[in-house]
This record gives sequence, C-alpha cells and structure tokens, in this order.
Amino acid sequence: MIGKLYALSETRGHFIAQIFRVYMGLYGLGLLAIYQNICLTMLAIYLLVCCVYIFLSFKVMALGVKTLQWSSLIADTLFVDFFAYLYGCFDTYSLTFALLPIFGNVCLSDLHFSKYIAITVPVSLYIILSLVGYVGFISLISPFLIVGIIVLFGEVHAKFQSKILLISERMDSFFTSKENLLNSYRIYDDIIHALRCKPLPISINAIYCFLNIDRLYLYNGSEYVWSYRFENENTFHDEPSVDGIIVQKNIPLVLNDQRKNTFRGYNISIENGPTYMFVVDAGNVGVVTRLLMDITLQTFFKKLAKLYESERLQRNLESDRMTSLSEKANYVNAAVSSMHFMRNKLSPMKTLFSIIDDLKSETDEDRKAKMQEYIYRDIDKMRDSFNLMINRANLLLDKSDTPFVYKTTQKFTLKELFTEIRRSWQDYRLEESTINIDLQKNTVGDNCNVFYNREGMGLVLDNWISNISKYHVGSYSLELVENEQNVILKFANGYDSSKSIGFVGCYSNDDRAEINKNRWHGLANIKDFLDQMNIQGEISNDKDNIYLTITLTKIVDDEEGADN
Amino acid sequence: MKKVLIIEDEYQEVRIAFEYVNEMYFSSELDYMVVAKSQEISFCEIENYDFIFVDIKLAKRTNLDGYGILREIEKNYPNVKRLIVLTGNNKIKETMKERGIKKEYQVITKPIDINDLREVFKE
Repeated sequence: MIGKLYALSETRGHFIAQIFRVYMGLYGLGLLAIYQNICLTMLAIYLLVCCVYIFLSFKVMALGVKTLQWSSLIADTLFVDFFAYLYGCFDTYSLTFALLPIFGNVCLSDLHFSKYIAITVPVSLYIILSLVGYVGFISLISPFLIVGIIVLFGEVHAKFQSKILLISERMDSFFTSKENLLNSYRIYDDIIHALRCKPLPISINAIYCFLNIDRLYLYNGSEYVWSYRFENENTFHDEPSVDGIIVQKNIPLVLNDQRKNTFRGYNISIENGPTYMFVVDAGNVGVVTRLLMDITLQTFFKKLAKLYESERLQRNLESDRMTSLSEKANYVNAAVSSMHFMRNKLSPMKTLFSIIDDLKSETDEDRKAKMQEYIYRDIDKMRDSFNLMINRANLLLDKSDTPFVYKTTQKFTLKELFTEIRRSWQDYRLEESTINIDLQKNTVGDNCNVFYNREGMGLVLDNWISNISKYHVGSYSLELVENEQNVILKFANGYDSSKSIGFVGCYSNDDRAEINKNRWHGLANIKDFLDQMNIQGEISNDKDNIYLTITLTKIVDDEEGADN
Repeated sequence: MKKVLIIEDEYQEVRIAFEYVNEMYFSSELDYMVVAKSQEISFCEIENYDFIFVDIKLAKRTNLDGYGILREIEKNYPNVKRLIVLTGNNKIKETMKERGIKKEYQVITKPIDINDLREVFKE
C-alpha cells in the first residue's frame, strides 16, 4: 500500500511537473511575443526547443524521483539560458523567468513544506508589495502565483487519486471474502461512502446494475428493488466497444414505481459476453461533479462488470451441476417409487401362499373346492402383477437411463488430467511434495493427450484420494509416469492390513463382482467407472502398502485420435 | 351384516384376499364398499361403517391422501368404530405423528396377509 502511494506521488510529481513546464514554455512564448516582438522564425525555433525540453523532461521523469530533481534543474537552467539568449536583455521579466524553475522545483519537491511555499510566498509578497505600493512588481509575482495554483491543483488531484486508489484496493480485497461473494451488491455501499468523503465529495444516492442479454435484467443494486421497468428500452445506445464505456443521461427507469430524471447510465461491454449497465442515482449535480463522477465511476464499473460476468458464468456452471444432480435425484426417486410398486404387486403372491396353507389343512371338500377356485383366480392376477414388475425392473436397470454411465469419453491433455488430480489432492489436504512426475523429454503437457470421461474420472479420483486421506497409515504418494504408449498413475499409501481383509482381492475378482458391490461400494464404483471408460485399473498390495495403478493410453497430437 | 369401507386405489391387488376372507371365514356377511379417491367418500355416513380401511398413498387425482382422510375423520367424525391403515411403509407410525395424526391406529403392511385381515374382522 505504501509502495503504491509512493508510486502515486511520483506520478503526481510527473503530472504536475509536466504542467509546470508547459506553463513555463507558454509564459516564455508570451514574453517573447509581447515584449520582444521577435520574428516568426525565431518563434518557431523557440517552440521546437520547447517541445524538445518538455519531451526530455518527460523521459527524465521516467528514470525516477531521485534522478528527477537534479536532471530537471539542469534542463530548466539550459532552457532558461536559451530563453535569455532569445530575449536578449536583462529586465524584471527575464529575472522572473530565471527564478521560475528554482521556485517550481522547490514547490514540486517532496519536501513537507513545499506546497505551503507554493502559495504563501507569492501571496505574502503580493500583499506586502501592494501595501508598500510597489504596484509595478505585482505583475511579476503573478507567474509565481500561477505556479502555486498549479501545485495546489496537483495536491487536490493527488488526494482525489488516493481516494480512487483506496476504493480500488477495497474492491480488490472485497471479493476474496466468502460472504461478500454471496452478497456482491454490498460493494456499492463502500463505493458510495468513499466517494462522499472529502476532497471533492461526490454524493451518490444509489447504484443499480442491469445485465443486457436480449433485454435488460436487474443484476443487483445498493437498494432493494421490488419492481422495475424501462419506459423505452429502444433509447439505449448500441453496445460500446470492449473495455469502452458509453455514458447516458436521464435513463428512463421506473424503480419501485418511482421515476427520476437523475438516473445516469454507464454501459460496459464484456468481450464475448453481454453488456452491463450501471445506473447511478446522484440527484441534480453540477457539471464539474458530473464530470468527476464520470471519470471516477468508469474505473470501478469496468472492474465490477468483469467480476459480475465471472460470477454469472460460475452460476451457470453451478446451474448445470444442479441439473445433473436433479436428474440423479429423479432416478433415485424412481427407484424408491418402484419399491412401493413392487410391494403392492406382491400382494396376490402372499394371498396365494395363505390360501395354499389353508388348503393343506382343510378337510371339508366343498371348502377345498372353493379355495381352489380362489387359487386359480389369484394365479391369473399374479401373472399380470409379475409382468408389470418385470417391466418396471427393466426400466430401472436399463443403463441408458441411469445417471452413472461414463462410457462417453473425451480427449484431454496431460496438463488437464494432472490439474484434475492436483485439485483433488489439495481438496483433501495431501502434501504436494508427495507427487512425483516423470515425463518424457519432449512432453510439454499440451501435446500429450488421454481419453476419459470428466465426471467419471473425477469420481474415481475423489473416491480413491479421499480414502487415502482418511485411512492411510504412514506415508502416501502419487507417481505420474509417461512412457512411449501410456500415461500411468500410481497411487500408494500405507494401510492397516487387518482392516482391509479381502479388499484387494475383491477388486480383481470378476466372479464375485456383484456380491462384492454390497461390501465395498466405493471400490465397486471405481472398477465400474474405469471399465466403462475402457481404462485399465489395478489394485495390489504388499505387506506395508496398497497401490492403485491407472493406465491410460496416450495419444500424441501429431497422431490421429478419435473420440469414443 | 357388517359394513366395511375400503379406501384403496389399487383394490385389484388385494381384492382376492378380501373376498376370500369374506367367503371362507365370515360366510359372506361382510358388505364391502370400495372407493379410490377421497371425493368419493360420503363422510356423513362414515360413522355407520363397522370397519374402515384407509390406504395411505391413494390415487393421483384424490383430493386428500390417506393422512388427509385420517385428519378429517379425527377432526369431524370422532365416533368412527374401527379404522385400519394399509401401507407399505414400515415406519408409518412415526410418519403419522409427524403428519399430525393424533391417535394410533392398527396398521396392516403390504403385501397384505389374509391372516391379518381375518384377525381384524374377528375382533
């Protein structure tokens, strides 16, 4: 923060120093033209030297503050000498011009009292000379007074820039808080409060943000909005260029059934994205305040627009995930509903068993005959129920409708695969240093590809890595090895062999796969998902460690690859 | 003759059980009235029935499900004689409390057992 403010003072110094030197150039030009009446050729030469002087000053300033002041003084002295040569005589005006650089460099220095000198010295001299009656000298004090005004302007400008910088810093840190991310509209309170502070306070009542996709939608605002409408959406300008901004006055917006004539709009366009319109309610402000408002708010709104676009895209991703989750939930609900269905359909079977039991113990022939009639009726009913149950079971077991099918794979680079693994590793707080990577010489990560299903692989990694996190005993590690044909992931961790009896054998034993599903759910899922993706997976163990090895076929970019 | 109201939308699945019990154990003296939806119930006559069987789930187009019917009966027809709940939910008693059913009722779980039916009608 201090570093940024120091840099700011350098910028302020540069900015004001440039204004000062332009002023000196113009003052000199005025003196030459009015008091010496020199020819046009000499004036042109003077202007050329002026431009070189200002240009060199700018370049010298870029070297830094310490170099600035001595270099500036030398440049100023040379310029003054050139002016004196052109001016051709020594009088009070040339004396004033000669003193200006010294006065200017003192006032523009980093000395604490410099800005006070800039005003108090000329004002004091002005008062003294007028009291004493040396009126002729007053016109000579005026150039120094103008320097003082330039310095004062620089001070106000710097304070205003500091205010903007503080708001910018606040914005940068605002969105690192989880609570603020969920309530992004709260940033407006910070902006409004900071802008109201001196110097040059800008009083803003409220800020609202609208998203322009086909039409204008309210995104958020500093005040709660129950209802809104635009009286005429066609009055809005075309989209501004990317990073450009269009300012519009008197936005025809009715908020909470209130229409104001003081809504001012700032439209910002996002590259390959929508336009955000920030509507500011600042009341009736003067021209200067409006100008300051436009200059200040544009910086913040450009930043905010990008943040909101990022937020919006995140929400869209979340929405996709929720849709996927909803589909899975529907499947689970269908499964539960099917169980209820089965229960009902089993009633005829239970009835049949009871009637048969009665029949076995019945001795009366008439009653036996009646029981048999009921049995035949029940068998017919059972046949119908049986068919309905089979159909319902088929619906559930049809793989194409189940949510956990990962046969469809896509091409991913090695970098993308490793990013996925690392993310999961970090999520479970495992040490980065336990990952070893062994790639081939020419591999850069972008040209080496593997095929897998993103969600399926994510579940496999999450499943195994979470088990490492929960159950490892002692050390753990991951090795990513690339050879000529494959990319191999080797997970290893210490384990308590007494608690994992049969664990390893279960994975490899297809003869008991359906049975083992009931005991080792996660393991069954890993095997199932890898099998679906046609990826080789193997679990093994020794006395101390358990290993999962996943082998993916490698495709290098200059070879033909095909999606599954 | 005992009057029996059966509020069940899938009566076809349990019909043989009810008819068997009626003919083989009660000499067809049970007079069954079957409705599939709550709007088909004549609530004003509900206290005239000797037995009322209520399926919890009922048909999609019913105005009240089984819980709704039980609440309606508890609230307005406290003098019903005998009410039995039919359900496939093993934890029905906890659920009934959660749904605001005050009394405890006899429960027959599906698939229905003929012997359970017989015991109910014997009492």
